[in-house]
Amino acid sequence: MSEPALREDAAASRVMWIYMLTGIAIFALMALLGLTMRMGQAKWIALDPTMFYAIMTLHGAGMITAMALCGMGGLWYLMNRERALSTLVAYWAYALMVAGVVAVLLSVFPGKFGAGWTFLYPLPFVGAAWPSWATGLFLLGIALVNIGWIVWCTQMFGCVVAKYGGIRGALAWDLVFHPKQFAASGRHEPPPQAFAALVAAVDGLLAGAAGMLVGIALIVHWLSPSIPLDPLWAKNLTYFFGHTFANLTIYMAIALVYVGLPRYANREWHTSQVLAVAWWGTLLFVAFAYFHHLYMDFVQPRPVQYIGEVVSYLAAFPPAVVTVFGGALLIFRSQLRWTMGSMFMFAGMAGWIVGGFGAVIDATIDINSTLHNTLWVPAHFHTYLLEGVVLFVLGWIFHQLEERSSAQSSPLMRWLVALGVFGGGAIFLLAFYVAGADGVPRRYATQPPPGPEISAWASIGIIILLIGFLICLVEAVRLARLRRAVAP
Amino acid sequence: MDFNQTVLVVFLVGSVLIVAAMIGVAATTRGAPQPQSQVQPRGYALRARWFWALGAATALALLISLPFVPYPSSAQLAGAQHVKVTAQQYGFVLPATIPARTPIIFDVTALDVNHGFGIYGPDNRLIGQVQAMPDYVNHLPFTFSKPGRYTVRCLEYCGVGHAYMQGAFEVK
Amino acid sequence: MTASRRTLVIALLAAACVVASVVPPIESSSIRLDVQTHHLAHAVIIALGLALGLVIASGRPVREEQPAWLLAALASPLLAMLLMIPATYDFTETHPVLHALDHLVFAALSLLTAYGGEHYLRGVGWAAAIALELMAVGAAFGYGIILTR
Ligand code: HEM
Ligand SMILES: [Cu+2]
Repeated sequence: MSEPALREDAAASRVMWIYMLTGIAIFALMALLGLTMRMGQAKWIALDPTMFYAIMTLHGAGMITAMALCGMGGLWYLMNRERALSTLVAYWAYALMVAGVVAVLLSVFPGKFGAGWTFLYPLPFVGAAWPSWATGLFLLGIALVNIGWIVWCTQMFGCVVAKYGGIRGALAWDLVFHPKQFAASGRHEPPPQAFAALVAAVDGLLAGAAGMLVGIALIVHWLSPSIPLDPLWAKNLTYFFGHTFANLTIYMAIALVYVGLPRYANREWHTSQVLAVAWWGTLLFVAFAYFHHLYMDFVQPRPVQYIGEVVSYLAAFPPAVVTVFGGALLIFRSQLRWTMGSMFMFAGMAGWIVGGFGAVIDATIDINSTLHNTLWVPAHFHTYLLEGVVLFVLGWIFHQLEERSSAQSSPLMRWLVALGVFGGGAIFLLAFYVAGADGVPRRYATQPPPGPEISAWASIGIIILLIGFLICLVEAVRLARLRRAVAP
Repeated sequence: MDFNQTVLVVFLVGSVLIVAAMIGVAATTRGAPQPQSQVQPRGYALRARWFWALGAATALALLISLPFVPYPSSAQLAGAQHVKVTAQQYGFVLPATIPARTPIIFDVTALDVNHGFGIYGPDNRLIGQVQAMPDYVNHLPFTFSKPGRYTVRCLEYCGVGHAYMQGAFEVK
Repeated sequence: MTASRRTLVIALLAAACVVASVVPPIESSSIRLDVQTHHLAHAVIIALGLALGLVIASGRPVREEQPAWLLAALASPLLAMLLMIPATYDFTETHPVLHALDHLVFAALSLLTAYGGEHYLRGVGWAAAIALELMAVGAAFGYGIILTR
């Protein structure tokens, strides 16, 4: 069976770079805001609460959107090699998301909107320290981001359905249940990254619909406050949207590793029956895991709470047993070339699993009673976002730069970056975990002890982390320059 | 060591093991290489065992943890002393004293936005919580064994005064 | 489906759409629905419109992306949801003709959602249809009403 030739074209790689560089630029700005928050909590700088919460809102919304942009651009590029995609549609999605980011930015600076990126009803409207237009602009911004996301999901959905023969083909149903006939038919199974595209598209459309519904309701409520919304309903929809959107950034970014890591290891990462079934699991689990955000809402139907715990536990299986295990197996006793790219990709998988472990612990209802809305929550999600998704994306960017320049970074550079990004990152994250276990609440502009002391340690960690990223940036620019030099 | 600290230690030990395993795998790329066709069968065999081990551990964890949900049973709701808690930007309305060693149900609601009702013990450790939501009443069962002064902190972001939203009660 | 069967199904669905949109507002103009039931009634009309769109589009599957149709498939559900404002229900219930028109707009937008999706690329109409139907049903459980437990 010969593999179909992969399409490579300049227009597609432009789409990828535009998405990714925009995402990285937003990431860099938001990282500085993160440092600002932690320094405020450490009382190194004076940050009045209105400012703190405005920054917190922007940081949350900005970071998630930034990582989504990176994952979307990357996965779009990979899927375009499987089946030609309209660049026009990709640019629509991009333009909508960027317009959304700009609106959110303006609502926060100068608008001072600060209801949190989760905009939990009715907080955006009640007792606000910001003008009403800021609320409207923020809601519009989130809606635009969501519409851009929906455009992308729709295109991905159409792509996998058209390419692999319907949902059934995209799921590799026949590969799993009728492997002999499948092999005999001469059909190609979807490559691993196509499962990421399918799951992002399907769960993304469900989440997008939920976000659209609650978004419209909130905007209508903003225009006409006498229309009531049910707070529990709004909470369910908001978390379903927010959790799923954030969660999917991981499953999009891992596609980059599926394609990138094998090139370093000089081995192959194929679709197997096990891999397909694992992604079926993910498809299902991602759609129901958000229930763990509502454990402390005792009015939520009881069965839903139990389903939340079971599903959250099960969600760990596909990565732990298949993807990350598979990644480890891929490089085991291989002649892996250790470069910036491969280092980030491999380290990101470790971050994903460690953060996932922290998440599973918190997804235990009984434990959630004393960890919910403490700093344990940002602790675990920063672990798999910052030391997972961000690393997958950086790994991919370096992979591209290394391949195109046929150069790589010196070992000294790599060690410096590792020290900064992993070492500084570890201090930053550990501070979150320790404070969380000590019951320090999240989203406190001013923390009770031992919060401030721990925040000081965190700030030191962040500074080291950011120095690591800065070295990365310098190195990336160097490689990019080389690439230009060798390009015809 | 209280419950949360035990959880933290378990997490840290687990994380160190995970990272160590990954570093161990990374280190094998320095040794003599083996072809993928040779590594894979052994890897898949190990994966099967890992799957069952993780499955067993998960099943066990679920069996142990699920009976301990903080939600009240109808018997508890009927047989306990009810204490009304009302949250509002930025404070709580609740009784000043609560009897020790008596089954209590906190009937928690909010007047404006979502808040959280987080109970911190006399040693300042978080011992339980429930959301305070407008239009809904959440029932949190609790029996205090230790007398002393308990602090209540808001555990759901509720606006600029969130970090200062506190209350207190005495358990006697 | 044979061509004549398809025509029959289309005719039946179109008739059902119009009947469901027009008859209840005109015939029972004295009945006041609660917001939840009213949302759900809209969800029924939307379901019929979506089904109609899917059947009409089923004739010739589109295999290459037609971006213009994607706009229709995404703007229509958005517009439909934007128009489902609970505060207008009191008003429309006392204005039967407007109310019927309002329903016909829902039906048309749903049709366009499903049809547009299928014409953007085969299969997408289904996804768009499911998403719109979920939103329409979902609205009944908290948009404009509080279901305190
Ligand atoms: C670069 C280093 C980063 C730093 C220093 C940082 C710092 C922070 C801090 C201090 C908070 C507030 C914690 C609290 O008191 O509740 C926070 C919240 C948050 N961060 Fe980060 N962060 C970083 C990276 C990221 C990344 C990569 C993402 C996502 C991809 C992210 C997403 C979020 C989100 C969603 C919140 C929650 C905001 C909210 O509570 O509304 N952060 N971050
Ligand atoms: Cu609060």
